[in-house]
Amino acid sequence: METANMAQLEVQDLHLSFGGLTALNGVSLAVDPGEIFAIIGPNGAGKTCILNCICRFYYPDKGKILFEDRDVTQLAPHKVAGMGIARTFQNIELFQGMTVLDNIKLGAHVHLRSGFLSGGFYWGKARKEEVKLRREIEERIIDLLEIQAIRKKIVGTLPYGLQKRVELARALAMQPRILLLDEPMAGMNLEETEDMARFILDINEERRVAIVLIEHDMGVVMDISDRVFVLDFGTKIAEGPPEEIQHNEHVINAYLGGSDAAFSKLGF
Amino acid sequence: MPTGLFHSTYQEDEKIFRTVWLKCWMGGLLLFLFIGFPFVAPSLSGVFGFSVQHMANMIGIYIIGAHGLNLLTGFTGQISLGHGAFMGVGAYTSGILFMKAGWPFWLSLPAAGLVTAGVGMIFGVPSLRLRGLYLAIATMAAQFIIGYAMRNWTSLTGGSGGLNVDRPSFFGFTLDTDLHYYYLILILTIVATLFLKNLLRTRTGRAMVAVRDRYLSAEIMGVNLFKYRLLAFGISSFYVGVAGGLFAHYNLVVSDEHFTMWLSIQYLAMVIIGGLGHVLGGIFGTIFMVLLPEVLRIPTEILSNIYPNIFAIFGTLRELVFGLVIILFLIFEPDGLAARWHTIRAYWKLWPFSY
Repeated sequence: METANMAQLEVQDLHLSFGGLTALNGVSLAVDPGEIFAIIGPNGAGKTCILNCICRFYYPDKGKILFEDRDVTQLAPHKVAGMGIARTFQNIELFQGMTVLDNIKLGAHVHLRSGFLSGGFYWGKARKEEVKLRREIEERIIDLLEIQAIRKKIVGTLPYGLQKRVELARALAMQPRILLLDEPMAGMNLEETEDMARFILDINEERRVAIVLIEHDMGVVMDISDRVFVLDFGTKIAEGPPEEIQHNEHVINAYLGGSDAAFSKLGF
Repeated sequence: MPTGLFHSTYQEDEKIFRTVWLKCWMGGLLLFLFIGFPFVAPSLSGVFGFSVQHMANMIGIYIIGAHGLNLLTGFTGQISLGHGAFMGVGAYTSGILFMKAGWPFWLSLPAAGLVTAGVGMIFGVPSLRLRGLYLAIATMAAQFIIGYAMRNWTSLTGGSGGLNVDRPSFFGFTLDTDLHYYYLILILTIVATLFLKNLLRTRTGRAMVAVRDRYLSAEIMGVNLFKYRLLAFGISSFYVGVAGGLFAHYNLVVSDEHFTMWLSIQYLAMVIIGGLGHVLGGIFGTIFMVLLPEVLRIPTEILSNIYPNIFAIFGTLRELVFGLVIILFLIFEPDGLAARWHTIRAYWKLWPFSY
């Protein structure tokens, strides 16, 4: 097999516009297997647009998205999940009326096989599958994310920080090979942020899942990511390891305003 | 007294009836429904002045239909104003297959469900694009189209004169009395309820609830929206079709007047009053909606004995109170009777130390 292209996820020359507004203007990036890849940039830079293109919410005007060397640009949205791409959302998109457990179980939807007949009669196949699924979720996800106490609670009644964690749990149940996290720490206090960072590192290490992280908390980004990609007005302005980005002139000018405050923001 | 639930296997924790007490209660309820109720029904009829056995049969039939609509509206979030007509499709299908094609009852009834499922899925196709009120109007079209067919396809349906259906008999046993029907309907109602409950705790049902709560993220999780929206229409229509088949064989005559818009709205009222998105909602709502008019007749009749011309003055007193009760219910218990039931249960679970 030709392995000129080792990246797990590759975005090539992505263009996206809404009417006259250009959201993405020729973005290319490559995420290597097992790395934590952060995308940063000012509000409206097009960070979430990239994720939405990968998940097929948006149809790019031009460009290609390759996942493990397969073109996903033309797939139906529900097919993308089956390929091993999971994501969380900036504004929580959980199923508010379902319990935590049911939300997580739904994440495993593409890995289950039972149809409505065996489900309705709770026949052997469906029953076995459900019990097995429950065991996997309990042992591999609920324990990891420390949400044992809330597993039977209705999601809508939980506080924000926990909902974020449940959303991560649901994405994990998809057994992804790449995890797209859209601002997982937004609106969290220091303790919750640290917990979340720990979970992300655990997931990355234990399961060798590549992670694409969009985040505004520079401290976290610089601490945990392997590479940082900086986006402004739909174009890449820098890419590289965190230490390099922290000293990059373009980044400081575009994102942080060029003042001394920028340096404190970047963690100096 | 148990101080908590201590399940040691995941299998135990995944059961519907998780505690011994719950199993006892359900056992008791079944015992009552199968043995106790048929004994007390005749004496209750004497007290209330209407056939309690007949009422129970009607409630059973409508519960199956209400479960169907609840699956579609309560659990998948798709409103339908066509379920009255779908019930008619089931009734006519079973009736025609039984009377004209000579099919046995145990074949014509599931066939009624399947045909209705097919018709329901056809009218469910717009659900790919339409939601909420728009879908309600689109399904209302089913009501008019099917209603027109029932009236005018005379060679098949007998037109406005209706279709006479014989009493069903299977394996040499004929359903002669209300009690015979009662057992048939009771068993089917229990099966329908359990099927719904099981469906909702497995893959398909979860996907449907996810489509209701947030369809975009359901799609990202790999749920094929169109498939599950259509499947919800199919299963829902199957339920209401079976209810229609039972109705045809119980009522012994089917005409288009049984399946008007009014029935569709009644079904909707049943699931809303009972509680959208609760399996118990279909049961409570149906009991409430079927019994209320009958119970309201009692005071009206007593009053009309005292004031003979009360009917002249308040000709529609019953309807008036009926409407009033429904409005009051929606104001004071918008989540339905099932939600109230859960609060009551939670209260008694901890009583008398409710802290």
